[in-house]
Amino acid sequence: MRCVLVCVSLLFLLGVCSYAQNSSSETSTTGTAPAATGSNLDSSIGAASDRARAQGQAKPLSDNDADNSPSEHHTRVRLGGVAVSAGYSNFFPGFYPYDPFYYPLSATWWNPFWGFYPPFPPDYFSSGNGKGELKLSGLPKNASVYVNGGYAGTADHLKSFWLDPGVYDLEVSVPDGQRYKQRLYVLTGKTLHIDPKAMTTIKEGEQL
Amino acid sequence: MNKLILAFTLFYSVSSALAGPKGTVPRSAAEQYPVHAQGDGFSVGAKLLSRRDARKTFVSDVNSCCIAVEIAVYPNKAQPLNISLNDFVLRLKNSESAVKASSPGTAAASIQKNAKSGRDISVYPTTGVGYSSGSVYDPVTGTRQGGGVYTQTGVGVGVGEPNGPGVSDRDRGVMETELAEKALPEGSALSPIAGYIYFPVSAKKKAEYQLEYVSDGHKLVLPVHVE
Repeated sequence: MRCVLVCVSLLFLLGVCSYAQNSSSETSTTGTAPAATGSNLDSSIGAASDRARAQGQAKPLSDNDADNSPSEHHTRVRLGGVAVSAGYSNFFPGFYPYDPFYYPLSATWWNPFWGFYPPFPPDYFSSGNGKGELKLSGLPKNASVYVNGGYAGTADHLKSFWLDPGVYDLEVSVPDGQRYKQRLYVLTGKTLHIDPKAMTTIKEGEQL
Repeated sequence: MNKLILAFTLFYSVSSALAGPKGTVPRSAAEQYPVHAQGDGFSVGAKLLSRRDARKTFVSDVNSCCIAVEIAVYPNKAQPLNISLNDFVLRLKNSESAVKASSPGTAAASIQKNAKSGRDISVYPTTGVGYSSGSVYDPVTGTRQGGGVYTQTGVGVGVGEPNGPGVSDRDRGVMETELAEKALPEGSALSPIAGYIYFPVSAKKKAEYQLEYVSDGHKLVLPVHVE
């Protein structure tokens, strides 16, 4: 009985960990295709024009618009994690009230009877703390994934992975020879869903 | 002097080659955009992004600072067109006030400021189940209590500074890069170009705006609205 309860507790905690990791904020990206028109442009943007724009843009459209400007203070509520634990004991006579979690779980695990405090420190479940998550879907299992030109693995092993905030070039090569690319903008704590339908096809002979 | 010019040209070429993509792919014609207008030797198409479109198009939270408008400019082949963000103005319909476009850097800074101004609340639901066997003497009631199943639930709430997307300086750099790479390219255009322009106003539902583009003294007015 005791072994069964301990095993059940372990399963609970594993499930909780995976659920909590999925609870971070998510977003989707359509991967706007980059333009190929840069060659005919004088792409140098003068710092002076930037300053000029910065000076000329602060005025709201009207007083009503100022009222409709984004709130200066907003609150973001998120699920920090869910803790489920179980315990078993055959307590000794004479002790009351008895804490069923004293043995064997209390030595190593958080005891839910201690109070309403989080069993784990904040962000314990954020395995990608300070990073952004990428989720690949809709790709063949053996499609090869490259990040910034480096081989990252196959799609079935990279259904979800974490990257430091930054800009990356993602390339996917499927077994039938098709290659896709997408520019990725990874932000802290944000999840990007990568859909091959939204990726740009790489033409034959084209370099990433 | 020639060496200096050569070095400058080389530097410019290398920096241009290393720069990321610029803008978006223009549609086949200006008429393919929800609003379009014909100017003297060029045509312009535009689409004001709804909040939903902006969320899909950008990883950065553009909605928190700006209205994004996709602009496509189609110059005549024989007549290159000089494009500058300063030439675009967004005006609330029938209003005298107007705003010019933000640079990507300014827009990213505004997004970061809004992200920092919030507050994070973390919720930690907890529950526990225990089973105890045997019985024990209860000094309160004077009886022996049998074992059984114990349950407990609770909720922990943590309040803290925001640490989500867009708060860190590193995120700000990423946002600036994204906004810059998707922005309408500036400079002399010989062929159709497209990209986004960010106006530092909050979108109002069903509001009607006028996008004005001035080129060589000619003004084009495109009515755009928030869906």
